[in-house]
Amino acid sequence: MGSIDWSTIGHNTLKVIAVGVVLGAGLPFLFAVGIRLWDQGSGGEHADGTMTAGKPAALTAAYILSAIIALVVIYGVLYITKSSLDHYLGIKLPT
Amino acid sequence: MSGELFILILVVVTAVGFDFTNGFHDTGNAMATSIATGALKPRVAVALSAVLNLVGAFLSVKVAVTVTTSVLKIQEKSGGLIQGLDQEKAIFIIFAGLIGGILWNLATWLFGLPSSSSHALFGGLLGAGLAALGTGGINWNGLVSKVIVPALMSPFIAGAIAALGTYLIYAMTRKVRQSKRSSGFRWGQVATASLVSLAHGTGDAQKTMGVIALALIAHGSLSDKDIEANGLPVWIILVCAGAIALGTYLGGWRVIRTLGKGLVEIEAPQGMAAEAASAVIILTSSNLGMALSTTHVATGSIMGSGVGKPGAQVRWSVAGRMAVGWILTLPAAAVGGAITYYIGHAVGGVGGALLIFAILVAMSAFIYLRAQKQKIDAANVNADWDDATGSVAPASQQTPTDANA
Repeated sequence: MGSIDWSTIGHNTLKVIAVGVVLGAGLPFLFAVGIRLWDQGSGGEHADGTMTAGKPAALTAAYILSAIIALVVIYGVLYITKSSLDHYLGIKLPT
Repeated sequence: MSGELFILILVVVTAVGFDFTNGFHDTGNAMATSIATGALKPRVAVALSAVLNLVGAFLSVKVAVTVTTSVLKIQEKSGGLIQGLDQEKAIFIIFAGLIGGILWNLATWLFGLPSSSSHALFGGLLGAGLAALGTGGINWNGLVSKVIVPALMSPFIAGAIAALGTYLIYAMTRKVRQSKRSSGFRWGQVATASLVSLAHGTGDAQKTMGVIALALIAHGSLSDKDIEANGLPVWIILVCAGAIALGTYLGGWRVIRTLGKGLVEIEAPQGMAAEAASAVIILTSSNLGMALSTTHVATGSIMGSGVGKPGAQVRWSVAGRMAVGWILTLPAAAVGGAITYYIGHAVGGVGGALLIFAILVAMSAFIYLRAQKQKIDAANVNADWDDATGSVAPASQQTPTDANA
């Protein structure tokens, strides 16, 4: 029965927390920014009855943001499957 | 057919059965929030999750030896059996461990408790190992550092990150029109839930594949060198992928209901925050070799999304019951595994194997029939939560006697 390696456990936990905050909370936040820009950009009637014109710049920004998020997610999927990609197709992911 | 081969077949069938309950029990981790917010119709959600689990399982190329090596000292790092261990003993440890795991999975499902399938398997193996080999056969270091410590921390980490995400999302979208907010976040929710399903398929199907491989190694019909050279036999991958996908598709509606309706009343932005936190944590931790339970992470995230939304309420009584379920999972499955091992070993040979298999079938049938009395399926999975009894069955489904039970 060996001693328990607390420092590795602690180190790994900090990594999970760091990545979790950046991607797990950060990406949804970016997505929320995109939703807000999309809402502002598309104009139309609001809850208080006022009408606003669409803002093309905000809409464009919203689309760019969603594209960035989609790319990150696609990379995430490739990352999960990286050992299979290597095994079956011999493709190695850039890390 | 030789007796050993017959026992091996029973063990493989039981392992596939465990894989099935694994899928069935964990559908909710990925899909409960999407079902509760209406982002996906219940049947569509479980079908999507099933397909992604299937894809994920096919993507497994490595044998997960961690399942057995984390808690038991019966397998070398290379995958081979430890020298000097009796083969029949090894097979019975695996067999009894699987039975302990399955029975705990089914019992928690009956009560709609999202308990960890991996912990059920760990617990079952632990109990069977203790019964067969005594304390010397247990990898205590692995048990603490790979199973217990991560289990204690993961719900809190996941909950905190989901709470932060939820808070930020609501702060950012406060002025956004309701219609835009719901429709936008539903997309995000479906995407993040899909990621969780895929991660589940790659991680959890592998665990059963590892157990089946170990049984074959113990029997002598497969060696660690074969796996090293040619990978896992294809039929193991096919059967495990199919079983976990089928289980997922049938949907553990009782668990889905507790997660989606019982814990917090959830909206699309919360659902997305919860699943995003779950997906990222599961993937990061498995990459670091920490096998976190999907269930612990997902449940923590969903709770966190309730904490992070201003004005939202978490049903702490439901959360408390889940926590008790989690604490009980390891010891309860261990007791099941140990008792099964004693029974199987006392009778011994083919007769012992047949007897414990019959016990498994009989108890599973009993739990299934018990669940059918208060059936939960796609039709009533989203019915209002009954706060008076706190039961997973909706009020209309309960008979007076059951409400008191």
